[in-house]
Amino acid sequence: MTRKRRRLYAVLALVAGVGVAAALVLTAFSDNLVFFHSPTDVVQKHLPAGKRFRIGGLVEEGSLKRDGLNAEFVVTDLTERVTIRYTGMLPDLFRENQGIVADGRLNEQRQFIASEVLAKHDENYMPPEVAEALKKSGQWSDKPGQHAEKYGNAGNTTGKGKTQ
Amino acid sequence: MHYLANPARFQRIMTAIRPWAGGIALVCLIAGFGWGLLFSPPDYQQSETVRIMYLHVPSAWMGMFIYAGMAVASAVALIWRHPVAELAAKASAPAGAAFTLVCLITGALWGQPMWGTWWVWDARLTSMLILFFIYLGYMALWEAFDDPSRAGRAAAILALVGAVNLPIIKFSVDWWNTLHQPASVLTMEGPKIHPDILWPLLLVAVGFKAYYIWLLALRVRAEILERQARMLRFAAASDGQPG
Amino acid sequence: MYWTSFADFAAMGGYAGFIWPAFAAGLILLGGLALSSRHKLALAERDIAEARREAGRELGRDT
Repeated sequence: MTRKRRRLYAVLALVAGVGVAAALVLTAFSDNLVFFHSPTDVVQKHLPAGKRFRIGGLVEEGSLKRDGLNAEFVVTDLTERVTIRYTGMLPDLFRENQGIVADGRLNEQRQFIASEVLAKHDENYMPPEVAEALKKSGQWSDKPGQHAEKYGNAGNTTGKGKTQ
Repeated sequence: MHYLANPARFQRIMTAIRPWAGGIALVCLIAGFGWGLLFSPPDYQQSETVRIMYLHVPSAWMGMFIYAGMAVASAVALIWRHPVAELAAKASAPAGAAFTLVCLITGALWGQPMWGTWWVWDARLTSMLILFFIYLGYMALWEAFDDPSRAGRAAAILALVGAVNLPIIKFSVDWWNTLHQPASVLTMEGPKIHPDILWPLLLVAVGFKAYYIWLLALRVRAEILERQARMLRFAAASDGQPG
Repeated sequence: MYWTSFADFAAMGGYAGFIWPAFAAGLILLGGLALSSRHKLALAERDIAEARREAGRELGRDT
């Protein structure tokens, strides 16, 4: 075996070793790498009241009730629904049928009391006129069903099958 | 690849490419940013803040692209001991770090008005920040050794180990729930961006590539000259010593 | 042209405070890197010329 060949194998072994190690670590900590839980997680995993976590989902159409700075709305992943209550400024992108991520705790009534609400943007970019035209022609693809899969549990084996 | 291993030939090619790369970079960046700031429409959701994307997205691509190039060059340097590959990787690192930092800063400036926060520790943002720190570590490692051949080997190994972060950045938005949106341009179904917004973005992306090639030609030449000057002085010092 | 006036352009629909700093950061970082790289090359060119002169002197002294 020439020295070049030996170095080639050493480099390949290094890359493979680091790759396997990283894959194992990421799989082991997969639950902690999830930035937010879906409403399905919250309902089915019985996350305890009082424990701080993040929840993400689509703001259900027609569910937003505002009274000054107090807001109450429902987030859904089209499987389960969780009511969120929040006092404060909502971000510019906050809209019904758009994704949000809220940080806070469940109370005893299983309502989520948020201390922070972040808007989640989707991956579609278009001018307003185009969006209007799409809506008019009925080709609008921004229906909640198309987005809901993103609020399923990516990387979370327990939730993976549920969106199907 | 072996053809480019000769420093003199590499220098000649890079010197010939440099003015072209510089020209293309200027034209594409002026056209891309001019289009993006003056003519392109706002987004239906983000309104004018979509213009930050013209800087943010191509910078993110460059930060990852340059790192991929550095990792390949480092492997070549480790296996075949091509001095030019090692210097190309070294010369690339500041550009990669600058693009990654631009991506992080512009992302924060977009995140504050749109998401409602400058920063979150989700998988995409965190892995991009790690990329920035790997660049800094790589550059620091080059400075940490007096002997350039040992510094080069240590830095090359770091570059290879850090390459594991690249697929994590790219697929973080698919593997885990993140606040960051999924890919818009490089997706299986094709771009999800309207052409009026996509074209300026692609122009800037081409401009950044050309800027990087221009910068690389410049910095590799500087690295080769520095190394030659060091060897000349070393040779002169050992010749001058009484034998 | 998308904008109706320069003031309209500068205001960026109310997001001027985020959009202009973003572009300023890009210009400063990437422009600064371009300038500092050119400076680095100029220094290296000067240094190699000097090293060659020194080497020439060494040779001259030896012979």
